[in-house]
Amino acid sequence: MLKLKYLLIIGVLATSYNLKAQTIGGMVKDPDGPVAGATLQLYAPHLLQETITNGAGKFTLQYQADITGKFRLRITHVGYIPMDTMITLFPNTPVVIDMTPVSGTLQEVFLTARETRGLTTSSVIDKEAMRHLQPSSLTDIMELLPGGRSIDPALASPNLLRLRETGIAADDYSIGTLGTAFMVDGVPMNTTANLQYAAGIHQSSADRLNRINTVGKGVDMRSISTDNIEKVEVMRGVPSAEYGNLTNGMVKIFRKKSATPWEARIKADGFSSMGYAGKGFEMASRKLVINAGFDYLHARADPRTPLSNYKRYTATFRINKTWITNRYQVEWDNFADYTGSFDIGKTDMDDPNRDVNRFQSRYNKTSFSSALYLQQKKPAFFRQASIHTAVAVQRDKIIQDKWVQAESAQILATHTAPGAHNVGYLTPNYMSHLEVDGRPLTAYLKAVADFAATTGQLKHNIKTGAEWNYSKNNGDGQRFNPLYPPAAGMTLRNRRYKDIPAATDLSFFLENSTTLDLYPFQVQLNGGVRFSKLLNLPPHYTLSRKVNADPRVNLQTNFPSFRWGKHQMTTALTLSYGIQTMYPVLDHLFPEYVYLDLVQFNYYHNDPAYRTANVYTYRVLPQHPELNVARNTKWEARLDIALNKTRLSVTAFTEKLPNGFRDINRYEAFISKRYNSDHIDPDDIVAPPDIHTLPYDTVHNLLSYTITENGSLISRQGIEYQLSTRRIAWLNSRFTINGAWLYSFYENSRPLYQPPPGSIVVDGVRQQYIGLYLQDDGYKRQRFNTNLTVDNYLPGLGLTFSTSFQAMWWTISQNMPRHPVPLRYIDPAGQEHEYTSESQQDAVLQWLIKRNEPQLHRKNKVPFEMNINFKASRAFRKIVHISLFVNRILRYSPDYYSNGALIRRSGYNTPYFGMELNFKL
Amino acid sequence: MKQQWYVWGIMAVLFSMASCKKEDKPAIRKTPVTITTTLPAGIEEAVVRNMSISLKENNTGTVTTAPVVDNTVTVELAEGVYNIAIEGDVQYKTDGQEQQGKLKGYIESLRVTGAVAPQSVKLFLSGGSEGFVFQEIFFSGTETPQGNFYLGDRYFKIYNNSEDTLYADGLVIADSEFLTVEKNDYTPDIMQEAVAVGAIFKIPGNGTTYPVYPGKAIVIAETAINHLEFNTNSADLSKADFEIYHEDMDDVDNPSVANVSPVFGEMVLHNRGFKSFVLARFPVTDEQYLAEYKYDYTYDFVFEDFSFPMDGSSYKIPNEWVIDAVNLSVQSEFKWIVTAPSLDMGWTYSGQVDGDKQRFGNSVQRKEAGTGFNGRVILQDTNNSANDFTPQVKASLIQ
Repeated sequence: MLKLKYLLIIGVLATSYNLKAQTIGGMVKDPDGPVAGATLQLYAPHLLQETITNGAGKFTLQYQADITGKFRLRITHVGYIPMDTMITLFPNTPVVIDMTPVSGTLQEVFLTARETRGLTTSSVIDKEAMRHLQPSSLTDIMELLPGGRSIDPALASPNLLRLRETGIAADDYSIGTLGTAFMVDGVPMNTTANLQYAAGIHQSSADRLNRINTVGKGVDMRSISTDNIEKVEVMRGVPSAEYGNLTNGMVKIFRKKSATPWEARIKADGFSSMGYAGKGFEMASRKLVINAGFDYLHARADPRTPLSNYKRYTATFRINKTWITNRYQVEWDNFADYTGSFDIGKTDMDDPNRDVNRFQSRYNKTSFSSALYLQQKKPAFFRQASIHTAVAVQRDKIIQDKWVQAESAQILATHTAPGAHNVGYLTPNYMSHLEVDGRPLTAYLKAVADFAATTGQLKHNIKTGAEWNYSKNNGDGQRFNPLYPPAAGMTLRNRRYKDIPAATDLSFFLENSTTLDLYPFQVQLNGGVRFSKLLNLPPHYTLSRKVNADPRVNLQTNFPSFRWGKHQMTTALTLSYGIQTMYPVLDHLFPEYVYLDLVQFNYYHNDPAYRTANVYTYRVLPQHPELNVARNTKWEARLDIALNKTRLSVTAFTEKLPNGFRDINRYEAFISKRYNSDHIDPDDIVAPPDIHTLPYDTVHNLLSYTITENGSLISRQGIEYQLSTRRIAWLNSRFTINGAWLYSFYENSRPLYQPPPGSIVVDGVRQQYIGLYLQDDGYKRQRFNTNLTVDNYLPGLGLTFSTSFQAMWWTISQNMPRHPVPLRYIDPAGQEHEYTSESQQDAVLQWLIKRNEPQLHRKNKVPFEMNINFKASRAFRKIVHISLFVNRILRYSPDYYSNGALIRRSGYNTPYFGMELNFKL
Repeated sequence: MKQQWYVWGIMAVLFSMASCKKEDKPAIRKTPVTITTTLPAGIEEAVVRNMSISLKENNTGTVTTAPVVDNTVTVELAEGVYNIAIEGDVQYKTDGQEQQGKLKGYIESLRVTGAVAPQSVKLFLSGGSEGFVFQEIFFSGTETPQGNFYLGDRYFKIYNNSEDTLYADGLVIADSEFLTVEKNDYTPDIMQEAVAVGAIFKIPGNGTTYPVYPGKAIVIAETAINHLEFNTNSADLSKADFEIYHEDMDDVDNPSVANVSPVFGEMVLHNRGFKSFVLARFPVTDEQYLAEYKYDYTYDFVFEDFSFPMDGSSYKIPNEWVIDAVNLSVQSEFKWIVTAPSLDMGWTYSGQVDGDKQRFGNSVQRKEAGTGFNGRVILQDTNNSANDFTPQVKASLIQ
């Protein structure tokens, strides 16, 4: 039933040859993986040979060399439909046999994620699991990962994915989400050229512009609809060297490539409604499959007051064509896709400007991609090759119309040229119009070839390839009338994105997978390296000269299987190590100018004719040519045990990323004049004072601006586990227990400049001093959860239902003490000095020492709580499916004391529910 | 309303005086005058101590004093015109709370010739200190005709509540570090000794630069310009005495109005009225103050279902330095007052709920307690802003 191409990359046994007997090797598997203990009988026409598959599902059979032609192979195993098949034997051809479990598709239907047993630790979520979950976007299905929990959809702001991380609400650690790659049908979703933000506006965290900002934060999962997806594979472990520009992991999305009836889906819940329609056409004679689909999602942040709306529209058209010749199988995929993702802001009923204020953020992506797969049918050195090409064109736009009311009189600086300027004042009130026009254009090219070779007992699979990425933004950028800025007091100036060069990277990888059969052990060693380089950078950038190498190694040992009662027990241990590299995005590499306007003369006379204001404008380019890549080093060990369809997988990992991207303040002394008009009687003038005739002081202003540095450390440790049982008769129940203990540590890995906690006064005048502190933030977070999901699959009744008990045993947070003594300091004139032991005694400099209150570094533990979720789906005549879900149908979260304070959390439960209708015509 | 009642009472007394007057004969003889005092309304279980009367003849300057016992006193007076002042200490209860205060009462220009009808004086409560007080705090700003808020027109009015000319030089105004709507267990707790303050500014001057006459006030504007140019619902503050100028792009400086000098931080009035204000004088230099009066604190921030340790740094003003304190809050959000009760035991408001649009254009204004000599209005200062202020009343400088 699954039309996946399992022919490839299945480990193949070495075959040896001698004059008297031929040996044939192969593998028996089912959709879950290898089948151990299957009996194989070779007839020609009488029984020649009989054998049993080992723990890895492998077998060898010997036969007389002089017998040629067709043979009959009979494969039997308890719980499987016996198979009889006629095969033609070639000495070097491995035989791969797919068995179907007796209980039809029961055992292979997973309504939860299943852990794969491959080299890279991954979870696979099939379309059955997705359908049962009733997701609105890809975000929802992430609850199935070990360590995941169901959360209510939050569709009013971007949904970003953190793998193996507790997460922390700080943009300084965005690498956690940026470093998770998303790949759809082999093409990465490239967000490098995303520049949809508006800088310089003093924003509160609740501000829309700020909330929807995903620059440098990765893929917004809201924009990925789930209806076209066949399966999702979330790779948390060390990925193949084939995959780059990521630090944490990868979400691989495979879309449907097969005939389907007309399908339609309508879903509604408290926050959203959505619909989908699609079909897969197959022209078997031409070996042509066409899939097309359309979906929409409308969501509100709060159903009662629709202040923020989110809308998504996607359309897809995919063609898959296959040619089969004697030697090759060629497959050619062509995809055309559109995604529109829109955040629409409405204003509060209390807002007096609700009739005129308008906010919209539009994301329109059209992409075309093509993939060509060439596969050698017969064993040879060259096995297969593939070429992926993709072009995506985006039209992104933020439009904000906002009535601005000056809260008082204020100066307005609009000059972009550095120097002293006489300036005017902000209009008391006006309509502002801001547009941020971004047109990311990304292109992708990847070529991969696989080769197979044998050296003695070793079987090699060699994979090599190259990848090129191009990311450019051709937008008009941030635009507004400088006289009517979108916010009073903003320092932003217009900027054209077109002028920013493209970010281009080129990488090359080579990987060898070696299989060694040391009966009864079987060892697979996969080692690879990926070289990558950023192109098209100015020569003074460090990265323009640097080639990064990512070594990656996975070693899997299958232990001998043994009998446990009536069943075979198989065990495998996988050890992995790897480095993953992520490049900075366009905004990190090419930041925009920072304008610093210093008031030199401020004379707001009662008579408007005599008013004058003078400002010195500094223009700073906060580029950081020494900016480097972010690199994550992973170590992990995984144990897989299988016994009669009950599978246990436990993974322990440790990861360290010491150089995540972070905005760091730089301080610099900017000189300005302070003109003094105290000697002029304001009541006795006939013209505004001319600053050139005024006395002045020269002032040093120690001001800050931010640059992007490799200054964030994320260290992650944890244990992920999943146990899933076979379906147990009667209700066909499968029990899945999964969860994770996750420990994340966040810290600045570069010293930070910070002003002292209080003010420093010297001779009655406040002075600016800045300290450079080795460590300022340090956050330890951990949590431990277990989900027990009982899912029942009753195809006879067309009924599936599941209950998920999602327990959080505890979450712990602790903030680390700051490093109190600065390493260096900047004096009011902008000079940097060592901070010595004498400085600590100095009457002024001692104030730079920060204090550490022990209370701030206490451990804060949130005790046990549990949610129970229920989901059900019923099919009527296999045409209509009705599904419903209730999250938190029950919640247990007792009040607790935290450091003496009673924390009330009982009584906050509001179940979240929704339902949907599916049609298959 | 209560203070108006006092005023009417006193005026009625004065009128009755005037109607009773007769032609004098030029002989020196003494006339007995009986004066009865009545206690202000709203105080319970009053115990009056050390009450005395002082009667000053306006032509000769002769002063006669006598103790007042059991709310009444009879004095033999020579003919003349007298200004009469009564003062005493009082211990009383309001809302069950034991309080200490001063009682005062005045009769201005009582003509004593022949028989004088018994006089009745309504006493009023007066704070312990006599000097500058907050007369008005306009913190909420105004609403533009389009319905947007406008904040530059906010101001403080500081009133000389004494009978002497005082100098504003060196007066300090500070806002509280803590909000009256968010109570946390701030450690260390200094409230009995000092007020934790956020921004502090000071009126400049050499000590005698800015005289303020008795019964007069100074206006300290956030921005001393004619705000009617920006918002027709606002006020012309271009004649303010001082302005708070932040040397920055988002402020303007009127050359005709003196600037206050910032001591610490930038004073931005909390426009919903969640912060309290204190008026003080520093017996130390600013430099000494900034070096020695830092206040570092920690607390646990508790919100619904989580708790988070926090810390902060600010300054503190010892309670003895504080001349006047006004706590502000809103009824729906009020959690605590952020000064010691000895400075202020109640709070006043310009809005009933958080974000109340009714607060725009309204301020809090200190009630008049009575009238002293020369028509000098004496403002009520019982160290209880709930009683001493009229809440949510149209700002006095808005036309």
